[in-house]
Amino acid sequence: MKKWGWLATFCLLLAIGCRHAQLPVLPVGGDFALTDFNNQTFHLASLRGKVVLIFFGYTSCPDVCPTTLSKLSSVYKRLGDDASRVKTLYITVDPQRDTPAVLKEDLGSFHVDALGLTGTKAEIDRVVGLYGASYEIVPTPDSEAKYTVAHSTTLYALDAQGRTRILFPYEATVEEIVRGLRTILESDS
Amino acid sequence: MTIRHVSVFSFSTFVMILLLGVTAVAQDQGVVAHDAWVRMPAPSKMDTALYLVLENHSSQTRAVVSASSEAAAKLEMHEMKNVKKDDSMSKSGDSMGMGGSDSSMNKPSQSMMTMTPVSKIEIPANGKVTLAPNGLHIMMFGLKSRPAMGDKINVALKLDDGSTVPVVATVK
Repeated sequence: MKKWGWLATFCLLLAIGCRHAQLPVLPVGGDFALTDFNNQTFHLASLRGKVVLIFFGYTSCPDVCPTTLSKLSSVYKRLGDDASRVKTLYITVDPQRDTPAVLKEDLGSFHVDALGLTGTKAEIDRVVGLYGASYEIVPTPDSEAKYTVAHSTTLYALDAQGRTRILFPYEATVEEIVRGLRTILESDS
Repeated sequence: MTIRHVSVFSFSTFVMILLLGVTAVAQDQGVVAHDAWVRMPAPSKMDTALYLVLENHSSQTRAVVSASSEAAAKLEMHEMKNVKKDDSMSKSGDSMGMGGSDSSMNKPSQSMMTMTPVSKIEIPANGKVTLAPNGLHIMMFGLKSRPAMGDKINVALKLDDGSTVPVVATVK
């Protein structure tokens, strides 16, 4: 019995270790500083201890961005008590129109614990580069929109140490995002 | 013929006439719209997107060439396109980028989504087209008043043959 007890413990530890080993630290990301929607300087490092989701978008985006935010609303609902351990950062790629006040007003309509971030073009471009994202201002002079912003749609998940662990594609389902976040949360606890 | 035979014959004839009538009506309807909905605009915006299904019951391909509504200043047709920045990125079945030895999933996708105006939306003969998130949609710019959830908004779609398709969209 004593021998089987040690074997069971070994297997359990092996299983836990294997689970941690399945989630590599990805070679994108890093700390940055931007301006939040309260017009305060924000440092990513201030969120150590929380799992962080990062998304690049803009509030005039009629389709992709509200779809992602609606999805995240469902994710937060599914996380239940763990929702308080996850913070979403919405980084605008349209700082000209997305002032802190606009970000605060529009993000408030989603049930997501989100902080809107903006900055100078140079500051935003630095973060875009750090995370391997991309965006492009596309003039549409014949449209009421005047210009649109083409942008990448990857959703980045960082662990409590600020390391990028999962890249969710735009097509990721609520279930997949919840499952991925729970894996990070469990490895952080 | 017995009374029973007459009854069955009359009923069958009635059903056939009914079906022919329904078919005729459907063909006469040409293009019809259904399942139309408008996304609730963001709090700071008076612009939003309209989505719907268009069915063409005629034997001719039709196209929507413009849209209008008393509820908004201008309507435009757009589509979302995926523009790949780096076509060399390979795809992996591991959609979450968790683990695996495929190094391409260790890098974020360089593809970008962009919204592009389109001049028309074609509806194939005896077919349908669906305007839905991540694809075709109709932008409504300059809403004249902020709608509430559940409100109905009337839109008119003008076709290439000069006819108009009425749409009633629900705000969601």
